[in-house]
Amino acid sequence: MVPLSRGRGVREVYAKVTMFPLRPGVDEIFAERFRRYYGDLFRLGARYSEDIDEADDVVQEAFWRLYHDPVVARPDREVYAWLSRVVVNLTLNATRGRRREKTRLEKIASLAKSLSSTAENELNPAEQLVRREQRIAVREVLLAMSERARTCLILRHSGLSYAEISSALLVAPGSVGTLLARAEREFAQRWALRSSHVNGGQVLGGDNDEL
Amino acid sequence: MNCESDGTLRAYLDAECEPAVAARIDAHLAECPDCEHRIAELQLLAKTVDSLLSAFPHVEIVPDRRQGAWDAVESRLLERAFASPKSSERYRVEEVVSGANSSIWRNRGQREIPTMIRNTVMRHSRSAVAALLAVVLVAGVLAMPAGQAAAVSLLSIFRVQNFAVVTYDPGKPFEDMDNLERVGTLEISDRDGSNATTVESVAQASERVGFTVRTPSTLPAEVSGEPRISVVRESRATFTVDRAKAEAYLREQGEANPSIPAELDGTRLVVTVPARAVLMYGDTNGQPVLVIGQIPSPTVATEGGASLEELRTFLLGLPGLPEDTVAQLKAIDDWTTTMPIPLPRDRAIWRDVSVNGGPGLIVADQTKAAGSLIWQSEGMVYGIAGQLGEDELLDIARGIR
Repeated sequence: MVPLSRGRGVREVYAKVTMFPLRPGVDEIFAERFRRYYGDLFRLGARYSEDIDEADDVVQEAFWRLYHDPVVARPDREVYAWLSRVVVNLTLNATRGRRREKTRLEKIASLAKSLSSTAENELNPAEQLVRREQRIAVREVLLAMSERARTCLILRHSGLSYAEISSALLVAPGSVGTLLARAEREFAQRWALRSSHVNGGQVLGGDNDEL
Repeated sequence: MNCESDGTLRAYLDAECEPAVAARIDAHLAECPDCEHRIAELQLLAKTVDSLLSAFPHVEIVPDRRQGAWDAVESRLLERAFASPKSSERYRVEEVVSGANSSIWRNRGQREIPTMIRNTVMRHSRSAVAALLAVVLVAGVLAMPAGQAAAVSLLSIFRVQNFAVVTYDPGKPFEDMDNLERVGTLEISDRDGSNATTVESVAQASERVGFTVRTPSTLPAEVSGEPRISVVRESRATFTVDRAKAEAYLREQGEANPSIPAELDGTRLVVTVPARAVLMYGDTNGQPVLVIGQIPSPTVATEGGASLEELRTFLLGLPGLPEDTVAQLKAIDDWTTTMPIPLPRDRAIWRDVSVNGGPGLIVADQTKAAGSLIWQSEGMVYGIAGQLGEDELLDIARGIR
């Protein structure tokens, strides 16, 4: 037995207990894919956003869209790639939609809600904050690029194969290498430009030791 | 000497090349300092970007939110199926027909039906059909007449023999008391997945649901022969009264000193909806035109320290229930054998009918473009719905074997 996690109306419970297929054939593969892919996609969204609730909402939204899209009937690999692309886009754009910059205190407080690797948890809150601001900077650079370029970068970084990326981006498998190379070049250039502005003309140094 | 493109070299770095191509690149790199240089640059870029993106740490452990997420997505889908015309979220016909199985959900562009009616038909077909396989839930208990003697042990108190329409305001159904969890806990047996599976044959369906699935012996001309057959797993809903929660809710609603009898705490209501079979027929163009569902009578059982009378008084007395709907429920005399069918007020029309000597109910939407018929026979509840008129529905019903 499964307890209801969020409040549900009588009408919805009624419908659920009496439920018959809304879309025969689609319902079943949709449910099966949800079961199989939710975890990975949640991890994907959680990784690039700061907020697990936001990641949850994003993944739900991606599946909602899947249900109404013809891709729902396509083979697993295509569906997974499609979902990954939607999750990446929604996650990055959700960040862009945030109206107010949080105060420093709010940021520290909300770090508790975010997920960090164990290594990061060993940093003190101030260090974690610096890391986080770095993430904000990376996101900004990503958002300045085309959707295709940044999605390519993120999907590759999150471990998708070229075949999966070609499926997600709807390009020929042979073009993934080219897209990736181009996107990486663009990212590095934008990053360098940004750092030079931020650090008053210094291309290297400051917090950007990775470069 | 033909140098390789950036794209090819990049793929090579990721070991994403065909072996033949990789071998060719190996050989080429041995002889071409330019390409060697380029690949080193590509590798540096790749590493740089990778380390920057690693600002987003790989997340190993995430909380298991899957069930909650599934509930939310499913609720949203169901919500749409019951949406009122004023709701901003409606299934557009085009969305529904873009589905996978194109033989059934094909584009309806050829039909000369105005969009308004098309939308209404799609929506009401669905809600009419959903009403077919209705279950009592809390509503059945609400319909109890006063003075009923209580039995304390587990017993099934409900078997469908009749139907009674109970209307609700589609704009705000159960709005204030929308969440049963305000006064208790609700559990539904479920997996975080679909309850329904498609099966290959009627025989297979019968085996899965545990009763003989019947089929129509006559069908209207426009309905094509073979139905899509689904079985839906048994489901059960258990509502347990939580006195503390209920008192908090009442206080919130303005009652200064709410007092709920102690024996109500923990009293359970269990509604079991048996496994059922659904047949879906399309017309010669493949569009869905007829649905036939059959289910053994749902059962309601209670257990706990409170009497049925007390449970009823408690539930009926809660603030926030729609008065008119509650009054209708109270007015059902033979509540132990009557299944309430909730219908949106002013949007559906209905009348009692007789099917093979037993009681039935015909429900249609205002345009009469679609209709449904629900009836009971020997402990089984049947329902059919489709873009059919009353006579056609009755003909089909009488021919079901």
